[in-house]
Amino acid sequence: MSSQLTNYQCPSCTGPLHFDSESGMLQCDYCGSRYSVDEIEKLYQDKLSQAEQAAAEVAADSAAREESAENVLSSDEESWNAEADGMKLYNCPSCGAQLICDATTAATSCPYCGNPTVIPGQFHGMLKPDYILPFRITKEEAISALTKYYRGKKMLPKTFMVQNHIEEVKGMYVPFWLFDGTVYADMEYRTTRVTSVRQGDELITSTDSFDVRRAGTVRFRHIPADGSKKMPDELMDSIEPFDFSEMKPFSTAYMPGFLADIYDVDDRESYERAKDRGVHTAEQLMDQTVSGYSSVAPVRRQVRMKQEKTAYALLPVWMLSTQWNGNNFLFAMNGQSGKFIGDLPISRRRYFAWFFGIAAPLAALLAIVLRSL
Amino acid sequence: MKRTPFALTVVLLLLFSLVPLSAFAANETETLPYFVSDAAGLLTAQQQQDLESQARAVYEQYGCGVYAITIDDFRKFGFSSIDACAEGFYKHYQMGIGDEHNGILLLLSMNDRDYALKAYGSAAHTAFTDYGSYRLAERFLDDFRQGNWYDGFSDYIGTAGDYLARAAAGEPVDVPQQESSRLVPGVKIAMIIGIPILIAFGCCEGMKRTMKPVKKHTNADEYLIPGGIHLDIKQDVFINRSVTRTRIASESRSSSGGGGGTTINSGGFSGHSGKF
Repeated sequence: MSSQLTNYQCPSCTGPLHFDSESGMLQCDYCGSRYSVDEIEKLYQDKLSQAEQAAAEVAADSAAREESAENVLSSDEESWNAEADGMKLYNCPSCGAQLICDATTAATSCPYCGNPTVIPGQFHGMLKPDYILPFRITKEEAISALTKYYRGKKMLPKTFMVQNHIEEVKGMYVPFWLFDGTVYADMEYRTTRVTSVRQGDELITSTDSFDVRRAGTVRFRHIPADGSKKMPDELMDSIEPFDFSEMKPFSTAYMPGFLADIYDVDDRESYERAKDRGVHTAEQLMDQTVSGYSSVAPVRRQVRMKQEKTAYALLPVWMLSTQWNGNNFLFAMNGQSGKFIGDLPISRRRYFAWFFGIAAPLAALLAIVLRSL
Repeated sequence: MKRTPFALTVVLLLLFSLVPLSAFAANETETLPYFVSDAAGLLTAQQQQDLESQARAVYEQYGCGVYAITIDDFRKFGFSSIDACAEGFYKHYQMGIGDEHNGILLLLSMNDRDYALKAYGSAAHTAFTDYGSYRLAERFLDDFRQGNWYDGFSDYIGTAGDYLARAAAGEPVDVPQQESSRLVPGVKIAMIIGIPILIAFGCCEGMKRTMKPVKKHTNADEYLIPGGIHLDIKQDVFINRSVTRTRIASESRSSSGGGGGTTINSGGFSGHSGKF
């Protein structure tokens, strides 16, 4: 299994390389040498081919692999059995330590020698992403964004900013499905237009009723839906949008220094979310074309989305988790645009302080104004 | 004014059907013997007697005449409007009490269901403000619209008596006094407590929302292909039209009360007219 892991090493000093978000190049941790992604890809092409071949062999001989896994597990304590499902065992090519990872892990770092490690075998066949969107935001920028994020939050407990500490900052390539499709919409509405004219001491109100129909198509490109069960959907939705024009054809050379997972939610399951978004947007667009009426009531909506093309991409996300008062708070940052998001705790005391701080002076002011009336 | 013992209907018919148009034109005057004169035949003799008694009681208590006259058509008397007819009658029959001829007249013209409510004299102008005049009309118009003539006239005389009582007490029915007194106990307290609470709650909920911005997206606007929206069918088909007519006299009524007081025309009359 050790052949499935790749450490990108500096061609000059063999030190570990990591992808530098600022320069968009691979940089050596020791000698500081920088290499373009193309250069490293060429150097490691052979290694990657070997890794993919090895992964294919393993996949073809699943029975043997299960047996092998049993052998590994049998040497461990019984307590491991319960947790073994969905885990994989690798050997670090730098220090030889055994790495136990999730079955979906595709890039990680060795906890012993710290070297960034890519598992190219994870990207074999159907699991190989079409695209990768490289990180543009650095870890330092992500950490400072968290502090900025707290600013101006009037209901944040005072102690939260002081006492909470960052537990973990992870740069992750999150698997996303990108769906292209066309929505076909055929909608009918009953509308009214009301006009009023004053004649003498009478108000004459005319109500015209209309049957309105709108039908057409709305085309979408790259509606994203994350393909990872570990990632909360709401959090991944909230860091959108990504600029997909900057996507590159997939290469593991962008991954050293970051974590990565392969998808564990398939495209069919993810499509439902993308479809709902597309259909909802198309309905709204059709609704917007019905204008100039006093009232609009939809009477028939026939909307369907035809899936045209699906792409599998790894998108850059910084995940930051902090702890305060025994609770974990998870934040996410778009690794491309820097959009930062996460739910914050609310101080009840501050809520009521603001409530009475607004209500009391207003009541006093109103009392003065109304007294003079 | 003296009470005459003749049959009311006969006298009224004589008065209103036999009075020549030239009498009004020549500015001749007569004296109307009754407060309630039903030439249109809407009331029974007994009802007329009852109403006459009510009106007389008001006159005796407040020194102001409360008159009611019904006719078939004001045009028969040579008037172009119900207002002119009411004012013409008031002058011609020398209505009103005392030197100032204080009184209020309700005239119904049945052909086109017109009414005019006219007050004359300083005491009547004080009691029947513009706002009060409309409020008074509201009391009897509902009854008249349903053909409850006796109830309508009874409400008119009773309410007019109340208004005269309010005026005698120095608090005539008028907009400012009434609305400000309404605000004092209930509405003021509700406003002082309710409005700040609503505003504070809105502000706090707005701030709270900024603390929980993580939400599932339901739209895909950002992923629309430029020029990817095509509308193949755009039909707007007219189905039908319905028309409703609403009287807006009540709107002007409420707005006219904003300034309070009584508007007196060049003929010395205040009041208004309309349909029932």
